[in-house]
Amino acid sequence: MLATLPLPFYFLIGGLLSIFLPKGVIKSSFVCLVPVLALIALLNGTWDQGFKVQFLDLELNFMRVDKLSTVFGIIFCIAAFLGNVFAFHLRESTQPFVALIYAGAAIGAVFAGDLITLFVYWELTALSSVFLIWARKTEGAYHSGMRYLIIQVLSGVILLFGVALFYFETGSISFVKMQLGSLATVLIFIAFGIKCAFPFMHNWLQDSYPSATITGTVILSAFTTKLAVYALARGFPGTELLIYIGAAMTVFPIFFAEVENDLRKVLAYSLNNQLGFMVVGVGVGTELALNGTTAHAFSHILYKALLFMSVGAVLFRTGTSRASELGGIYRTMPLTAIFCLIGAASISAFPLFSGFISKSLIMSGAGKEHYQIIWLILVFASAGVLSHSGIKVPYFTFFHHDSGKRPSEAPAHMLLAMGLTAILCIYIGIFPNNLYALMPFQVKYEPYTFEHILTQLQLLCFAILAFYILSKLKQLPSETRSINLDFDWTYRKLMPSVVGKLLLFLELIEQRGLKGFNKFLSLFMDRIYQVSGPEGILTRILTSGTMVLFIAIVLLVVLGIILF
Amino acid sequence: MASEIKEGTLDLINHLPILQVITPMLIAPILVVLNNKTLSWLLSFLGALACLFISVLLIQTVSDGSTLTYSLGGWAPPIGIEYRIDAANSILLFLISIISVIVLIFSYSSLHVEIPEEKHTLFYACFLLCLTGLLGVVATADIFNVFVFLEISSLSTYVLVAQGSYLDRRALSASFNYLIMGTIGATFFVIGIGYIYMATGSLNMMDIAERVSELGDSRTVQAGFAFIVVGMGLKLAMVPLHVWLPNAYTFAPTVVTCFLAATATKVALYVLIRFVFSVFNYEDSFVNELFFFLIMPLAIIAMIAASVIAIFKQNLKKMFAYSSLAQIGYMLLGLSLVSEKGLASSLVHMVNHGFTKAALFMSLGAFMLNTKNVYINSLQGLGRSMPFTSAAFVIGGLSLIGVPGTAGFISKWLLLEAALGSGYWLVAVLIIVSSLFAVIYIWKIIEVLYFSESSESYSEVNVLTLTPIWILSFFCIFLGINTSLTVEVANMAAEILFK
Amino acid sequence: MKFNPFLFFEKSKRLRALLIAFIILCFILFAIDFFVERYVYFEIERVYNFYSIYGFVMFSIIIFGSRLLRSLLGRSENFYDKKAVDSEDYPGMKEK
Repeated sequence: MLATLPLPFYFLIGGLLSIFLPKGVIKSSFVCLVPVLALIALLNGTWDQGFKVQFLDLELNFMRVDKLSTVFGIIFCIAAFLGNVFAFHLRESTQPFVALIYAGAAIGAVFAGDLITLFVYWELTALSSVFLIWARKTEGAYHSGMRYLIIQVLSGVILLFGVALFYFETGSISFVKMQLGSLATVLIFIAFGIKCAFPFMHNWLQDSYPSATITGTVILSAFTTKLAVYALARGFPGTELLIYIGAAMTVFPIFFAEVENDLRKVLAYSLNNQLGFMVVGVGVGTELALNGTTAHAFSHILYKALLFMSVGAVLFRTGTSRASELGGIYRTMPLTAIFCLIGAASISAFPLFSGFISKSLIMSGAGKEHYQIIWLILVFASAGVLSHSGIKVPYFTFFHHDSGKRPSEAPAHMLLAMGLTAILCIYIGIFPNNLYALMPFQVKYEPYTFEHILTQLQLLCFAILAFYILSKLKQLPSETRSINLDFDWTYRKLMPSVVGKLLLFLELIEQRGLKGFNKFLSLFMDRIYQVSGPEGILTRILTSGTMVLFIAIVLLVVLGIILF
Repeated sequence: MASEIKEGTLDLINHLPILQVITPMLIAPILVVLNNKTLSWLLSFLGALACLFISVLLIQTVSDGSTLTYSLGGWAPPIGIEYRIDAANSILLFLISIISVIVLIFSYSSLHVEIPEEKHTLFYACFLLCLTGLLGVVATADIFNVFVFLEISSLSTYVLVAQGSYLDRRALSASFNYLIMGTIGATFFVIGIGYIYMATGSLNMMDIAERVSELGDSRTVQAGFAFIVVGMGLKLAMVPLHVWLPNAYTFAPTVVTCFLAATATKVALYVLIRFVFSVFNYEDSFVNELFFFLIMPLAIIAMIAASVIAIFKQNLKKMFAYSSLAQIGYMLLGLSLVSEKGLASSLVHMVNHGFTKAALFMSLGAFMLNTKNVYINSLQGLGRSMPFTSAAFVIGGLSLIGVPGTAGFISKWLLLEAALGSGYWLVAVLIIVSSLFAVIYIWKIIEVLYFSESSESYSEVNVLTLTPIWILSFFCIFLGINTSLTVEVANMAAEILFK
Repeated sequence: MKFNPFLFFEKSKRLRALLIAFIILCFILFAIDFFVERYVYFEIERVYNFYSIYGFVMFSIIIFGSRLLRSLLGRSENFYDKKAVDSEDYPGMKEK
């Protein structure tokens, strides 16, 4: 029985059980144990027939296990484990509980064999993860979480509508490859796109991840967006539009990341940029490129978590993650600094680190299909990754000007989590074939050729050289406490301000003497208030005469329709 | 016509249709004679339990698509009064009886807060009469009998609503308004019956159906239909004939609100469905035109407007009363699609919404035991001090929104399916929009329950109060996962009604 | 501090040595391109030392481009709201 239990249930049941455990070591150990059990179950389980459930006249499949879903299942289990180890110090109920539910929802979505199950878990990821933001318990975080929740739930609603339409067009709800073309698939595509942070739909990511708790961000960074990448790889491989969307995603966050002051936000932009690579891979859609997307998602989850962990550890010790207030911390947090450098080297794709062996699959995939411009953009983006994640994050945190801060080294469990993650990053980098063996397609690829190592080193070293020269010339953007406008301006500023302006405008009209117009407006507003306000017309107890009048009118209408 | 009429081999099965109706009716006077508070509760509870038992037997008997008939006093129809049980009404009989059982469990520990002890006996007697009426309306196949039972249930309902006056005097005027509106509705209904009788000379549904089709295009029958639609529209609170409902639900005692919200409007809707499909011919153009030009727009207006109004309400009973109007909109919408899928979604939503709304009103009632009122601000922080009630409330709320895994999702999905199947895209969008409004008002309450600090500390209500609430919440989830009871029976019912 | 490789480089001499090593590495990478016949997807890759030049130039473009971006879109932390999440400090943390 246990062998056929759908994998997400391990997490959901584990999450519910965790509520009843005493806060502290027992609870923290338990939530670390659950992903390990699930991983063992995944590697030994047999779901050849799926796990099918009859629902209405639809057949749901909770466990569609094939190579693609298995890879994502494995990495999600690992990420949940590492994230929970990193969060071992928590002495509360909400976050460990939510972390398990969230991981379980993401895994459930990955193994969903049909669109209804996908939708259910899709919404559950949104509903559970928002508590990792609210757990910060500040007013700012509350609003940020609310914005996150609204956007995520919107993605789910669009998905549901797309699924319903899809069902009517095709009579099927199975989650297989789709073609853009009908309204149904376009809606599903948009729903995936919102979660995948496509350009102009991306701002929830940079808004919410830095607003979460230290441990929450680590957990958040692994699941939602990679789930979307999985969904795209499953549903829309080879959709050419994705190549251009992905290319745009790799480019624009680079500039924002470069001037962003909050290092966790820098990492959120960099996450967006990395997603771009994966989306390009999905768009190219060849076996090589899809392998690249999968491999890159795998290694990306690890090194991104590692970077968020190291910056989180610094935040945990110093109380800030702003570049303008950090610097010189290598003196007292050397281990964290080393782990951060390993993460930075991995994301920048230095040879022997995980990014090198996964990103090159996507680049080769694009190259083999002769997308020259796209390929140039991707190379450009590789230099960009180096600039913000490879150099900026470790440099401004641990080196650069001495901030005078002398925090103590990160606590043991954080070091353990970072250490394990770092080992995995290097292990994958050195023995890429172990990762390639997990990939959905059998593709022979050798990343460690002399010329590949050479060209990659040329690119990176000369970019670093440019950094060195520009910093000597004092041309780097200064770190100051500031923010940069992004698309969230439209809903955080424009919309509220337009409404405010409108009210001001009305006031102006009144001052000019157009009182009649205003009176009409206010009457109109009063009317709305009367109907729906607390003292509404419907709350008042009407005279029986009025009610009977209503009835008479309705009768007249009904008779009219029927008889004429 | 049903494919097969069961000649009961077992004698008891034969008498079940009437036993179902008559059991509570016979107990009611006994209560008054005995005049003992505890005993009357016990007897009512047992009576309701018996009804539930019978309804389960009935649903089993007819779930294969067969029909069970019973001739009252041995007089064969069309002269005698006939009781007919098929899939469509068996499911409603089940809903009414199970809700009455659950509500009675709740009333044992909560009624004394709202009604003085010496009135309890009469209250239970009235409650049983109301139950009789509702069951009778559903079970009978004689249209005048429908009217009689409708009046039995309505008259007792007016009394039950007025019982809220011990807490809030406004219950009296709410009840009075309900009485006026309800009586007009009943009058219209009986006028409609009169027209039909005039044209066909029969009161038996099956008989009328045959004669109506023979008559062809008859103005008399059509006028009769108009009066019946308006009369039932009043009883089922179709916008804009809903004016009585919000106040009646708000000021009635919690037990009554639960019971009414879960059953009364559904029964009226059932009567409308029965008339449209079993008495008149749904293929007639005047029926179709009415549905397309009037019922569907009104249903959509109810769905959207009532949901918006609910967002602004501070009194939670009133908020959910408006939400009920919106939900009635969903049911009417399903019906107005005039398709098998639409009708099935309507029937399923009746049951699912019955459990959902009962769960919500009952947990509000449990809050009220502590806070004495249900203004949204008085619920601050109750998520922590009353965790079990709040959790049940949240489950009910999720089901109301239509979150997957809950009963509400099933019926909304079916409705969405039906709307898209009939090609009404815009309607499908509006269903989702209206659900989003539900998210807003449910969220408002969850926010108050869990995210604000409480000024006073309360203790959780006792187990006896929690049990019925959790039974209902359990059903909200159970019916969202196991759909064999609702969807299959409803599909069967829709098939039978569409012949 | 038990173990800290970074302190080793705190002396400016050692840091300079590291820097010189890096520049030598760059030089070697630059020079080696003479002798290597690279497999290419695109003609542009054949340009001598394409990757080095592209890396250097693009990095500079990123730096200057982002400075331009900041001059256009940079705002104070309180731009959205005084209590917006952008400007708040992480709660419950005292500097250690």
